[in-house]
Amino acid sequence: MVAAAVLVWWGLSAANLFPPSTFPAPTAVAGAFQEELRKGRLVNDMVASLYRVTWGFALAVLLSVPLGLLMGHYAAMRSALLPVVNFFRNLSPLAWIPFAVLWFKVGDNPSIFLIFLSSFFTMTLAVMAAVANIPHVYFQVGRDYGMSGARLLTGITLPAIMPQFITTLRVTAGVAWMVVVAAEMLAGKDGLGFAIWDARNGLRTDILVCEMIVIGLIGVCIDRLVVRLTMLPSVRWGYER
Amino acid sequence: MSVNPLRLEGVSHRFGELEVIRDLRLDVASGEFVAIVGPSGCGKTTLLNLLSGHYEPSAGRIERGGRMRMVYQADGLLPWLTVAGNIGLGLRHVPDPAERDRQLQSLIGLIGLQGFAQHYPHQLSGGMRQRVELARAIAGETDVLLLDEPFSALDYQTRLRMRRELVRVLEIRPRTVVLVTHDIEEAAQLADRVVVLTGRPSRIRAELALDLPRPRPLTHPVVVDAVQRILDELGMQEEDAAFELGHAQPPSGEPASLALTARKQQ
Repeated sequence: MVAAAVLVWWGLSAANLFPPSTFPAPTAVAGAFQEELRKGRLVNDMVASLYRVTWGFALAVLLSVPLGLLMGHYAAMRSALLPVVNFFRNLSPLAWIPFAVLWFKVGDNPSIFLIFLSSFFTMTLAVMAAVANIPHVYFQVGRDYGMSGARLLTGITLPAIMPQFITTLRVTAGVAWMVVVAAEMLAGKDGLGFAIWDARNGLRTDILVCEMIVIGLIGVCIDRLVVRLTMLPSVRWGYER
Repeated sequence: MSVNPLRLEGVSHRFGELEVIRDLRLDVASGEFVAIVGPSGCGKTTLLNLLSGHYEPSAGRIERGGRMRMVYQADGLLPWLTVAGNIGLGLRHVPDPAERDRQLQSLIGLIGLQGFAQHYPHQLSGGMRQRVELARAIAGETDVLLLDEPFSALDYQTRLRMRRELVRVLEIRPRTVVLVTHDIEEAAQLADRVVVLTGRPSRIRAELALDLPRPRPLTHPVVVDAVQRILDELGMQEEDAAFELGHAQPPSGEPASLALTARKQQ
């Protein structure tokens, strides 16, 4: 499949339907790839983007899980916060870009902030829904066998929501990776998103395509990584029923 | 602590205006197997929750002497734990890991699931899952087993097999048992005493003692007779007789033709 795609690409560029400056040939892109690697810019941009996604995503997990647990367990919390969370979830994180720049200037922080926003609300809702749907009998079993308080949380609630939570991680990780590109275009000095913007400004379509390929491949790698979590034996029940 | 592991004195329970149980008296002796049957919606589940202590009665007293464990209808196993993990829940009070493991292995052997210790519930059949639940419930020093229609989600033949299995396990590990069920056959085949409840608000309509050693064949005259008597107490026989005489009065809302097929199958 990959070979076929490259072949079509090569055929199209060889046919000269578009000027080479707007439709770079595979060889030009391979050259750009080498050039970017040699200058060390590509690796630097990859590290910068991954760093931001990791932080933004980690913060989102760290804060959305407790909030989702509270909203799932307590109906009062749910009815108070649900409209707010729903509002922000439906607001594209890209709308926050101006504020992200005003508040956090340039560098890592605006991107981290935007990635956080892209995942936090969806994750909160998913955790909440998962908690609210835990069959009552599991808690009853937990209490029958002497669990209470924190033990019920770690022994029942968390393992019970794990399959759904991993599915959510997978979706939000994909979104976060898309948002980092957009965030860096407007609020960065480096990163893969910035590199795209930079290549566009320099009309270097060969570099542009090279960056696009790298971004796509990293996205796939992240997804493969999260999917591995679904292979854990203690969550298989959530996918095989 | 009372002599009896379970004693209900004048227990009533209501949910707001709805009176579900009225003035229930019940003594369960140590080692006794009591089955509770009743028309659907009569408050069996409420009674079970009262027995297990999940509800407090609106009036009356419940005394419990000892550790009580519940076997649920279905899906009572925690799906993220293996067979060993689920049974291990029942052994949490055993401090010594080596001893805990020894007891675990013996319980797995008891229910015939050797080689399945590391399997997860979703990898087991319905009958195997209920055996694991049973093992978990009798693990450790349980005194009273509370069975909430434990085999109702199983197919008929598996249900018959599980009754035998329960009898065998109880022979090796005797326990006081309270079985709440809508399955009259099950009650007649297993219990020392069958308590028949009335419709809501539930009172005890009749008690039947069955003095026949277990395991009892399903077609044993005593079992068949007990089934008949329980049906009598529930008013089912009268309904059948009335129907045969052509004076059928199907329960309200149920089409007559449907009532006919339902009865023919019985």
